[in-house]
Amino acid sequence: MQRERWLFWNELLRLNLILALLAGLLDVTENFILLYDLRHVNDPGLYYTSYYVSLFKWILSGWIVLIWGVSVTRSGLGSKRAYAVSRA
Amino acid sequence: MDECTLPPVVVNNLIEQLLDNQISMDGLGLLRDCIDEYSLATIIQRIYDLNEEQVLRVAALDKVMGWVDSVKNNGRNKRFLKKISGNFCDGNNKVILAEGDSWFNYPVVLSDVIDWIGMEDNMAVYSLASGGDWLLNMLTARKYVEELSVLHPDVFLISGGGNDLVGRNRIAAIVNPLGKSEEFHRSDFARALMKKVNESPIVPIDRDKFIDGARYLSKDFFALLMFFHLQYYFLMNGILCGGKRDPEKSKFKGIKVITQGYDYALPSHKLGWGFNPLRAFKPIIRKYLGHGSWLKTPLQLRGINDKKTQENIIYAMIYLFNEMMIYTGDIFCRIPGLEASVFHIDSRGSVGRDGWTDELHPLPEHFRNTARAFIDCINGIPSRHGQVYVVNPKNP
Repeated sequence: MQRERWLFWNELLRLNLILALLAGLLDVTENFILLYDLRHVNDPGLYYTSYYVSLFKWILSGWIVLIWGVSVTRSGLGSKRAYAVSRA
Repeated sequence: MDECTLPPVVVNNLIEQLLDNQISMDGLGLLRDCIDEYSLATIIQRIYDLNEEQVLRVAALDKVMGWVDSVKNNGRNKRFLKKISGNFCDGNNKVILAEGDSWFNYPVVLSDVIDWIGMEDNMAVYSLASGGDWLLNMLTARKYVEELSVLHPDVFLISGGGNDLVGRNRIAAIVNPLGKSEEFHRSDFARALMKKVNESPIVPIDRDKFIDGARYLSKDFFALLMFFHLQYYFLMNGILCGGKRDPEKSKFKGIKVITQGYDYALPSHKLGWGFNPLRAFKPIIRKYLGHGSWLKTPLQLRGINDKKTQENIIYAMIYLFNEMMIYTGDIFCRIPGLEASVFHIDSRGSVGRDGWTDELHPLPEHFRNTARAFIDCINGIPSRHGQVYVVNPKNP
């Protein structure tokens, strides 16, 4: 974020801080659901699926990694170009 | 420039006049020539009604804040070292040392002024800035002195005074809640600053707001304003003139010193909820990082509850603070050989009502606008206002 010059992408990275927190909370929620299911493994009536929590968590994580990856790639290419120019 | 020839009793008398907001411009000029660290310490202790140990404790950075600031600075300074390897120091590339407060180092979430400057390919920034730091701390700790000697930068950036003004509810101590203060009219210094504004304002002034706000400023504010002037003078004299008021004595010939003076902050307790997902951080920052405690709460503590009055008070303070910075820089720019040494970035009016993350800190795009003015100054692009670079609020 502190190396991203394009304002829109800079703001997306900032939003990702909050989304990362949200993904973390979803992960914790998923773990609690799984623990609950393991505890009640002999009682199918007490099974709760963690599918949707997990799905949302991975969508967020994928989004975060995608935005970050694009930013890092663009910054890296920009740095290489600047470094090459400064050495020329 | 003359060395100080005044006996200590006269210097002490001038300090008393300053604290009482009774000092003339001539007297202030004499005091400037005689100011040293001891005098500065005496003045601030008297303004804050604290002894030296207490003042430094009040001004000290919170440990957590200090740690967070150091994490960001460590990252920046690693990038600095990487950047300056090779032939970086040749040509148009600039080595920059930055010392300042949260406009130069906002913890994690925002891209502050130094972040944007550091993204420039031809600029390598070494940062000592700490969010929450006081100008008093910066001058006492003198970390910048060591780094100036090591790096010999092309440019020195300084942002300080904001936390001295608003930290620890200080604003409550420097306002007159009755709104009948005549201290502005008693202050030769403030009137001299505004005389220049009347003749040729660099930034437009809303006179009604200023006059209304000035009625609430106590003599402690004007003493603090002059204290800031002396602090910045002391800092610049040390860098540009070797502390001897002689440019030939400087160890950093050719260095540019660039200051900044903040924008008209808006006292508020509102959390800033909205529908823009890219602004989702705003209510979180406001809820947990001190929003409301710097300006709104202290003013309310003194019984100043009217929103417009609160804004006008801050307007007057920031207007005078910026004019003080410009005046201080001008003193050095009039010295032969130092004509292009001190510059001021004027952000007044650039952020607007909707451009604030919280009471004191602009949104990243406004930090970027301020950074662009810094970048133009560092790159030597001439300003329409001589030594002052006015921030363009509409930078694409």
